[in-house]
Amino acid sequence: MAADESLAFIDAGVGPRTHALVLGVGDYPFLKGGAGAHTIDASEGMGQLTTSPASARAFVRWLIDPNGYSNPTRPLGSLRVLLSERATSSMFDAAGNELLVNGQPFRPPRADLAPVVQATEEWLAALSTNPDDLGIYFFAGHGVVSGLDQALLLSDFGVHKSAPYRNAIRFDGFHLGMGKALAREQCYFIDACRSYSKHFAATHAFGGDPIIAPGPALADQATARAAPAFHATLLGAKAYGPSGRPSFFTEALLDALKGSCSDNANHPNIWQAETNSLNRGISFLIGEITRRHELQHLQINSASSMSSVLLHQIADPLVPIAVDCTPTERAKAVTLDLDGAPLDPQRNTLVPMGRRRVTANLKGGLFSCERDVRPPYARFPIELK
Amino acid sequence: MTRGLLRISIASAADKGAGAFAARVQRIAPEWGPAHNTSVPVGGVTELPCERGTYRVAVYAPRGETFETEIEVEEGQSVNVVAASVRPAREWLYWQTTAANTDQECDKDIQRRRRRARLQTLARITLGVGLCLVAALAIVSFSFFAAAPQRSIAVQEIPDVAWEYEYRETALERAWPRGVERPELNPGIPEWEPKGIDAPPAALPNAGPALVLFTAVLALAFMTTGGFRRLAGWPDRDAYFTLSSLLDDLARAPIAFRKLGSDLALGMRASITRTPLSGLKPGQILLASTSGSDHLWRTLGTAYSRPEALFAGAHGLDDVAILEATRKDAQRRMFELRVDASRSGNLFCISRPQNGRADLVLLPTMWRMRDGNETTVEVMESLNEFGQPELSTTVRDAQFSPVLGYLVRGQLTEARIVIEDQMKPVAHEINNPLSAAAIGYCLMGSARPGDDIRWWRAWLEHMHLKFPASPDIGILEAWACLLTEDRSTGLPRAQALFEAAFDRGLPAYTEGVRRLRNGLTIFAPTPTRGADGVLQQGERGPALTAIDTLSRYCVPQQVFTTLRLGQ
Repeated sequence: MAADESLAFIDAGVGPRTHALVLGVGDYPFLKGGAGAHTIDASEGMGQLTTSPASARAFVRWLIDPNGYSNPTRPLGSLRVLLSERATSSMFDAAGNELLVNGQPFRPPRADLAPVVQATEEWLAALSTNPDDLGIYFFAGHGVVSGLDQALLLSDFGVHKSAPYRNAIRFDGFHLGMGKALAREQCYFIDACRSYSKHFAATHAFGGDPIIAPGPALADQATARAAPAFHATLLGAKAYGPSGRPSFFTEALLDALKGSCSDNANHPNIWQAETNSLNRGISFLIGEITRRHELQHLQINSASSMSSVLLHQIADPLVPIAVDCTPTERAKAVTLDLDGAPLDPQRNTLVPMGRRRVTANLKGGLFSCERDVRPPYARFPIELK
Repeated sequence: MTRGLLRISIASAADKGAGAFAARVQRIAPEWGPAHNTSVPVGGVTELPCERGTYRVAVYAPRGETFETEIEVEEGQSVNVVAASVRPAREWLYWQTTAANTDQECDKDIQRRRRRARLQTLARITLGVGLCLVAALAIVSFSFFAAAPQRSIAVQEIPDVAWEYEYRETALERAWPRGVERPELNPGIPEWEPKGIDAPPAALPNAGPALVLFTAVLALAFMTTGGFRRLAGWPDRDAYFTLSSLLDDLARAPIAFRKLGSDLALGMRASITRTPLSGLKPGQILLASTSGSDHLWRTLGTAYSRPEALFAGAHGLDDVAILEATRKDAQRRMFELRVDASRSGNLFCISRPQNGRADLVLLPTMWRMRDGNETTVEVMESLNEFGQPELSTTVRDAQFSPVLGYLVRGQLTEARIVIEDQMKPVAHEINNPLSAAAIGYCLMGSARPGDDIRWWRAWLEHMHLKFPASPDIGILEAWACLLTEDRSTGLPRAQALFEAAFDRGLPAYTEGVRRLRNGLTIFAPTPTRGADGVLQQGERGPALTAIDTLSRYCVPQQVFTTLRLGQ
């Protein structure tokens, strides 16, 4: 791969910057339904994904959108994107404009092992110039676990039939290896299943590639590192998403970043997304989403290595609201409106802060609830009596 | 201007005396104010003087539940905020066991059950003795009446028919079973005696010895708890070999870890099915101590079976017992035991295998409460969606349990608030390495770049001197060296500390296993990437290989080290 093929955006300004690396893996040639020359035995039911590339695209749109990622002290400095989907296509921003690099449409390289290694090493290099830089890592694709290890499957997973996990990221090793970066604040978002894999377990300590191998050089940065990792689901569980659209986790993450995660603890007029409050915001939203889709098992997000990192600043927070109608058997028959406008119970409803009124209409009978709406979220309990 | 007072408390009947929860208070009207982090002791009140206005109060429970409310505070007034649980009691129980909350009612409940268990034991002994007496009486009476017919035949030669008639009537009356119709004798007819009528029904005397034997066995079985199970077939002692080897290995690193790697990787599925684990019934777990251990333990509620005659000292296992659940419902069973914290050696428990899979837990036996007393270790067995038992372990330490809850959920910022608010003044008095390690993991995990960590760095050094044999404290000290000391001195010291920690045995915490593995990884030769782009691992030391393999079997959701074997 030529240098910096994955580089979708760069701003070589002065001062601390945010450097992001986004991987979206949906096309797996060597898994079920793939176009590869063979299909591996170790697939364990895994096949092609359409939600992962859509999730990665949505996250990239948020990063480059002027109304999206905002960090006055550490603006976006670089963005690297690798995407594997059956049909490659350009990337578009939130306004529908094609993303251009050097005047040419940006075509992200595939998320195979070699390009991923190169892009990750470049990302590490970008994060090794200023200790105040912030790193953001986003992965969407297949994931499996065994004990304390998680493997994130790259697009060429299974190209070596006898050693398929050569082409997977060993996330725990990678997370540890990124301690080599000079930047001491890093955020990881892993939108992948965390099902147990006996094949991964059978690789013992040799399955998966840490990409950035941990080593004594880690000790060069002899200071604490804040590197929280947000996972789409609990260990041993699956993550879900609608076909061709961003996953539930990414939807919750991006909605939370609009305001649910915001906090003005440091300054009354500045709303900031800090990682602890982001975790709570995602928990609320993913709970609402999975409840709406009536999944057999609720998807519950989790976080590891949690510590506080200021990630993003929000000018006007949009606050998610939830309406709890009781008794629940009567709730199915109600239509809802918010300040007179119809409210779609099948979508996350985000509203600006302020006094809001939700009205439930049950066969002509009106029941309402009014309250102040502020981050992280607001619940409107309505009794249908 | 007179200020108002915000009084925050936590209302939950199940959580009295359960340490403290993290809370956050922020004024939201008439204008926003800065957020204030504090802790709220369960069963107590946190008082915050504040200006007039509307405040948002959030209390973060270790289970992940957040209680949030907005409240008006007027000048000169005291306002109570009560954070009440919205979760059903069942979930609180689950939380209590998985996230280590505790409740005082449990102890009362256990006392009640222990009294009941004593009464039951007394009743069993009484019943057993009674059955023995019945058996003895039965033996006497049957031996008498079994002989009666022969005596009757002998007197047939006596000419006095009337006398003989009377004698036979009396003998038959005595020997004939009650409720069974008996034909009458008629001395007026020469063949007055139907054939065999002077003997009771044939089966009755023959059933006597069998009945006696059965009654005696029943009596003995009743007198000893679990006696039936023992009689049903305790497995052969040789079957313990693999299991005992494993436990010994776990207890003594590094030989242990090296061998353990191959045991776990190659043979655990087979070894589980070969061991007596396969004989465990639902509601039972196996408790085992390793050689060198002089543990004493006792269960609460139900007594345990202790087959010392068969297994004492067998293949390195000092003691093995089957624990019975003390509380149970359809999905969960609770095992409770108290362990003398001053004893040495490791104590493990192992779940009933299902499809060749079992959980092995290193029990936190060294735990002591702040007053120095031993505590109750709780092991909860819950069934997963496939009906396989999974073990969760915690300790009943009211002051400390929320910290364990926050640690297991990764809510380290909340843990830090509680530790700095409630435990910092008494941190030097901690009398066991396990609670010290939990505090250390929370503080180290929540440290941010630029934080002032001087107080807990000094505290950790003190703990390292105080508990030189603890693998967890050693691991924390090694990481602290890496993070705070100069490279030239910190690097070799950290490496030595990681290796020493490995030699001390299995870390008590899952976080310890992870940090030990990561620490040893840092000092392993850096792998190189070949021309084909594939990473070539260098020579890895036996310690790293072993802990790496072990970590593949760790259950990350558990706060205490739990290995899922045979999966």
